[in-house]
Amino acid sequence: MKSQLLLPYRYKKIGWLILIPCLVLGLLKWYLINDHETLTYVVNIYYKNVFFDIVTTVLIAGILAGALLVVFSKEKQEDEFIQKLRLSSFGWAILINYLILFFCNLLFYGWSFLNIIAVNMFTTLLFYIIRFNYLLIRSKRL
Amino acid sequence: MTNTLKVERAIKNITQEELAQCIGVSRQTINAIEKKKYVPSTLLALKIARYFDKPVEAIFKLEPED
Repeated sequence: MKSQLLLPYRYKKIGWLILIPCLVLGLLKWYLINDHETLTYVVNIYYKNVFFDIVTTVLIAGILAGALLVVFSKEKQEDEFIQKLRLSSFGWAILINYLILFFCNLLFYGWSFLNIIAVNMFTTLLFYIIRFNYLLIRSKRL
Repeated sequence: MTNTLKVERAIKNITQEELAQCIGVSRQTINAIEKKKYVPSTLLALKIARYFDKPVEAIFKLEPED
């Protein structure tokens, strides 16, 4: 079975190596450091008079790049059953993600909803990774 | 769909892992087929049948509800 969209297996390891530190640092920054602005490095490189937090930018880029590599890399032995798991995990992740978003839209307003939107940038990919690996481990058992 | 893969495997005395390697799929696939959680594609069914040197119908059979 050939599939055009997937990267070779070794990119999966690279993906994990980028994703995990960025995710941990991102969560730490979000929960611990966000309120203390002195701790964040603020630079302006590209734009005059526009300040942005380079740490956040790098961490978001890291999480997205890592998650994309993990999601779009082949398994060690990629075959039709794994592809079926892949497809069903995509469907599951998108459904769960948008169901949560739907209810959050009804329950939260203003800045709290904006925070949820921010987290929502990553959740589709993360839900997929969790679901796919769960199915993979479950189907490994005898 | 039912199958006799586990029996065929026992006759040949090979593990899921060995069979998977011979056919070029993952062990999860063989496991899922044996547990009837996955219906293989025609291509894979033919490969499995060729490996055991039997017709496909000897290994994979339709059930009344199919």
